[in-house]
Amino acid sequence: MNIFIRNTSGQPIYEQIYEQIKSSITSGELKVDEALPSIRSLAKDLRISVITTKRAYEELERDGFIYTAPGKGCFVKKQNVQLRREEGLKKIEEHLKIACELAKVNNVSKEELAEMLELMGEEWY
Amino acid sequence: MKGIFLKNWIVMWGGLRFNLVLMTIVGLIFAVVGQMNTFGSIFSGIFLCSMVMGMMEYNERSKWELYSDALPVGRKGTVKGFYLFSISYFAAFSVLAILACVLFTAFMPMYFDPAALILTPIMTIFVPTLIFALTLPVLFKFGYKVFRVIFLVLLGFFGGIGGFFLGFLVDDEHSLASSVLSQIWSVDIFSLLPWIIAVAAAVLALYFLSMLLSSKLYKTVER
Amino acid sequence: MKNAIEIRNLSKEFKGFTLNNISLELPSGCIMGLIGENGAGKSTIIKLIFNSIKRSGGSIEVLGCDNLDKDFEKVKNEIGVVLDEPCFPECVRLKDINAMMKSIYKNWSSDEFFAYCDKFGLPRDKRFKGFSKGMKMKTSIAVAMSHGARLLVLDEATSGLDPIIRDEILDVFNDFTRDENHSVLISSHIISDLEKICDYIAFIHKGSLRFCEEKDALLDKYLLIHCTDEDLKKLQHSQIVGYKRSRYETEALVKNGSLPSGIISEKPCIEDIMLFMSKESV
Repeated sequence: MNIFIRNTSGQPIYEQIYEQIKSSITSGELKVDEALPSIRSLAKDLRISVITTKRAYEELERDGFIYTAPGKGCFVKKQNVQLRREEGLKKIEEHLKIACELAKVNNVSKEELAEMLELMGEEWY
Repeated sequence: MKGIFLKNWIVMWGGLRFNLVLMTIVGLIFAVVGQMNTFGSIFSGIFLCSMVMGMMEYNERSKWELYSDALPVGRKGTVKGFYLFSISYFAAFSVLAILACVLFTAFMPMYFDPAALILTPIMTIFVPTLIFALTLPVLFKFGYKVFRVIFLVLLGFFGGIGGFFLGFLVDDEHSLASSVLSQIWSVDIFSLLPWIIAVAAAVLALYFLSMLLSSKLYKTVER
Repeated sequence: MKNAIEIRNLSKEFKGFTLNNISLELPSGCIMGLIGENGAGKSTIIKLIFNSIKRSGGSIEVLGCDNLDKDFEKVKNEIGVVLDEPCFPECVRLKDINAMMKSIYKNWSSDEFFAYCDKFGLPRDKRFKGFSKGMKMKTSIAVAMSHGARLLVLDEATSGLDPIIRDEILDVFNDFTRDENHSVLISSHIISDLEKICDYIAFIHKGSLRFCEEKDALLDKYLLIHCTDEDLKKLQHSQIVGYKRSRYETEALVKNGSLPSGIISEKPCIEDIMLFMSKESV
């Protein structure tokens, strides 16, 4: 697993860790029940505060990506793929709703909006 | 206490060994001269103090004192260690001085004088012990710079006494020094021995009291 | 135990300077950075921890022991110290330092000491006098790391060193706290050094403690904004921490919260927080 921390981005470091571990889990790079590095050793290896890594792990556990075995450490939790997908779809819907609202306010037509989505899709996929 | 005692010896022997050997040789020469002239023995004692002061100079420059507050030695331990170190240094030198004098008088029997032979180790231990007993509290309370000034003043004083005794070398029957000395030397030194031992014990007691005083003073020093 | 260092209502009066009612806690296993301008009182706090100076009021507990207690001398065996000035006599060599510290510290390890000396590339044959400033500092650090310490207290240990050495040294302190029973208190005015590895930051300003907080929480609390003078006036007085006017813009540190639109904001760094908090009036 690789984790890249960027100090210059506006994103808080604990969030960067959260995102990267989360994607490693959902992509399957980290297997179910695989052990994660301890909070402390991760902090020291990344040269950041222990409190930061603790927070990232707490949020991962809260959101159901990992679980803690007392005295042993943190491990990858089995993901409900279907549930994840549904959650993801819901989030996309919310973001699209905002995009539509902004389009309406700024007089962007439905067709223009669809074109933007098409272009963006080509860039990203 | 043991830590500081050893530390001082390590600095002397590890760091200042060349100076130490050189000064020891010079000091021994003075001690041997003391066989002929008491001034020599007194001076070698003063010399010893200077050697220790040279070491203090290094301590001063290195800000060791501030650092030592963070070490598990304590102010009392520092004081005790230093006093113990100093007197052990003087004692070690005295042993060497006796050997040197014995060797000297073995090769130059005309200078053999049991009184002088006894006086030499006594002077080389107890003169510096007395000087330090009087001045070390100043070191611990006011620091090295003030101590150095006081020490030099006292050096002048003892130097004056030395000069007083030196007077007898001048061939002048009427000098005060020669009359005092002829009085002393006319008395059997061995009958003076109990007095000498008493004075020695007093000097040691004074040294010990000085150590207690220094401990108390050092505890109140703030950096 | 819970806290490596517990300072409560610490105060010290000097002529012309007062250290005022400082309360700090360094939880075990953490690194706390003590920041503040020169003369703010950082070194004073460290001297008070070791009783180099006597406090006027308050209490200090280190590794669970009151520092005026008789047992505190023994506790010092577990405290590694590096001060801003190298403190060994100039005439000694590394093996002499080893011999000295061996007789002073209960749990001294000569092997560890020489291992650190080799790691730092310190010359075994030179007298301390011949060491560069960086080498002298590294020697002090090697000593601090070689007697089984649980707490490191570092007073400006990296000042005057070049960035390469500073980086090496920060790595050493970082590794020290891989063990959750090890803690570090480090005072520095080179804040970029502290920004990454510290868990807590305490800011001392003119003898008072301005804040002592978890570093991440601290950075989340504030925003650095660039705006015009008029924009600044639009904000609530209580929201502004400090500001700086220049010819082309006004820079200000504000509490994180809602801002009028059009104002450019970014995350501050610790140095920004310290600078703006030091400004006298709003």
